[in-house]
Amino acid sequence: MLHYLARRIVSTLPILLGVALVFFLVFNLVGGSERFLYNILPPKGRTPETIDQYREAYGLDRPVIVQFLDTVGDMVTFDFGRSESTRQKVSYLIARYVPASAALAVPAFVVEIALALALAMLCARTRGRWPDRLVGVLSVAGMSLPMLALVIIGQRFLAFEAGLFPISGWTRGLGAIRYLALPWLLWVTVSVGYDVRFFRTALVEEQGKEYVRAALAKGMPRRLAMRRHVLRNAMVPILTYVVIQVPFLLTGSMLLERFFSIPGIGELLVQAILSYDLPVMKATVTFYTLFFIGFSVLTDLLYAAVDPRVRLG
Amino acid sequence: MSGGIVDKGREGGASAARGAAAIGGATRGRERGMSPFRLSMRRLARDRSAMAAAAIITAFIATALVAGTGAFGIKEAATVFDENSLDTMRYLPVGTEGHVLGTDGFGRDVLARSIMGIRTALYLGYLAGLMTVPIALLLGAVAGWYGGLVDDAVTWLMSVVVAVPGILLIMSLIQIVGKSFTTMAFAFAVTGWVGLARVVRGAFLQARESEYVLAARALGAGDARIVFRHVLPNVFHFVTVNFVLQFVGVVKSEVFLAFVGLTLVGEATWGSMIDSARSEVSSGRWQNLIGPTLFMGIFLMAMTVFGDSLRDALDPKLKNAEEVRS
Repeated sequence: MLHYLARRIVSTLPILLGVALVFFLVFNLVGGSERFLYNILPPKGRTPETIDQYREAYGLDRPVIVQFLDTVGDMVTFDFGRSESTRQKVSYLIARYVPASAALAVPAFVVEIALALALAMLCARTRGRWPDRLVGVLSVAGMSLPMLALVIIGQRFLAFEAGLFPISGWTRGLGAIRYLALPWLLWVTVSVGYDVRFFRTALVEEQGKEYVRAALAKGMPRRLAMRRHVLRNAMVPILTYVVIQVPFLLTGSMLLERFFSIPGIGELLVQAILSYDLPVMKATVTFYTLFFIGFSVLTDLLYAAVDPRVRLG
Repeated sequence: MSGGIVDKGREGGASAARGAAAIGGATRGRERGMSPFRLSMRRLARDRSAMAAAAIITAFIATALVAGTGAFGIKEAATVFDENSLDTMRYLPVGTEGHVLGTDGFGRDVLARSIMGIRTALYLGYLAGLMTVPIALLLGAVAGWYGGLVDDAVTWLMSVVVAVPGILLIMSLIQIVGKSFTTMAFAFAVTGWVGLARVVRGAFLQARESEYVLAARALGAGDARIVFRHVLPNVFHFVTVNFVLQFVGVVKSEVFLAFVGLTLVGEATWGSMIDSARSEVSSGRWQNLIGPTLFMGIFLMAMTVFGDSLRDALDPKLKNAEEVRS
């Protein structure tokens, strides 16, 4: 177990190095650094001399390999400096924006997973009959409609015309719930379809196995068989599927955050990309990557916890 | 030999054979000796929802192709606007005679623009798919077939691509390389090949140890022949299903890119239309929302349904699990 953990942690290093390489390739070699210099200067200051000056100041004139090692160094030491657009410390920005993202993502995610599981169980129980079909059709419809359109419609009818929610806005503290209610609702609506379909497949597959038939044949009530056997065994794929989505919660829903002006990390990331704010991008990418790797290790551990047949080696 | 398999299926024995029997209803004599691919296509043709979806997709593609030739003035109505008639032509509401879905702020017909939007969606989806498949096949196959260091390298590359937030890579690439549909498709391909490559790698890992590969080798076939003639056809169904799924994802992502201002302004894309509806609905102008949402919803629903059926038809083992009733 400890041996396994140690090995996994060591194996993350090359991945981090690779991420740094991708980042570096995109931003320093494909032409990101030129755009970056262009962007941080005011229109009047964009003379060749000042650009050269800034290039030197940011160390972009050094040999490529040195710059790359520098990027890696920043990522390993978590030293990202200050944002180019707001001049605030990147670590401060991250600490400030993460809570809003979490407040949007975590409750919505929990509710959505619970709802999806309940619907999937309904589908599995009524296989082929109308409740199953109805949920199936609605899931596909939810997956096919553009999220942006749903968000516009939701805001227009539920917030503006019915007055159920504020149109958009943000406050610190518990008052934020008011502003988060509609985004939560939309989040659940948009993503529940995918999960219902996945969970349903997992449940139905498990339901069809011989041992379930045996349990039913010996007279076990269907409900009990579902709970004690099917659900428990189907938990292995379901759990993996859920846990693997968690890192994505960190970036939140960029669309919802941006649309409802929620100051979350997704919004920060979009802003950073659109304004070539390299330090902020570097930081968000690093955090995301670490989060992602951490959770894939956790998934493996959970696998072993849920299914005793799995051995970590 | 093939007759033996079908007979076993009749007795409810081997699971592989049960697929063919259960899905096609009663096994008919004619199905003996048909290739697995033809059996799959038969299954697909019997799937009513799949056929309905295929009909819708075909209708969409045909409409897009016809519109692209300039027939019926669709192309013109979608792009050209007349400055002189701008006062009378702009923002005609849904249901106006001659403009069923109304017109936008430039007096362009929304229905025509939605139709032209199919072209953009098709271009993006196909191009992204065409770029993804070779990358995924090549890397997946090489990793699975040769193993060792090559495998380590490809596995590392896959972990790296997955560990970078995809949307960040896509947005950055478009931002840096420049806005064009080709760049967009390329960005989708760069971020989207890993899933398929993993599956292909797995299939090749398995194939390397399998009897049919050993048999081919014993007959004196070289690596290239075995890979292309014998193993590659076995991953064909992953490729097609992945293609459909990726298509849906790409079309949906374009809307998000439009929302953050990274799509092509002035082109008829569903994303840019919905994005401009964002500021228009507050003044009661719904046409730019209704048109593309309707088109995209129907098209992607048909694609999703078809993709599901295709997977079920091509992979009898999966379908089999669904068919067993307890």
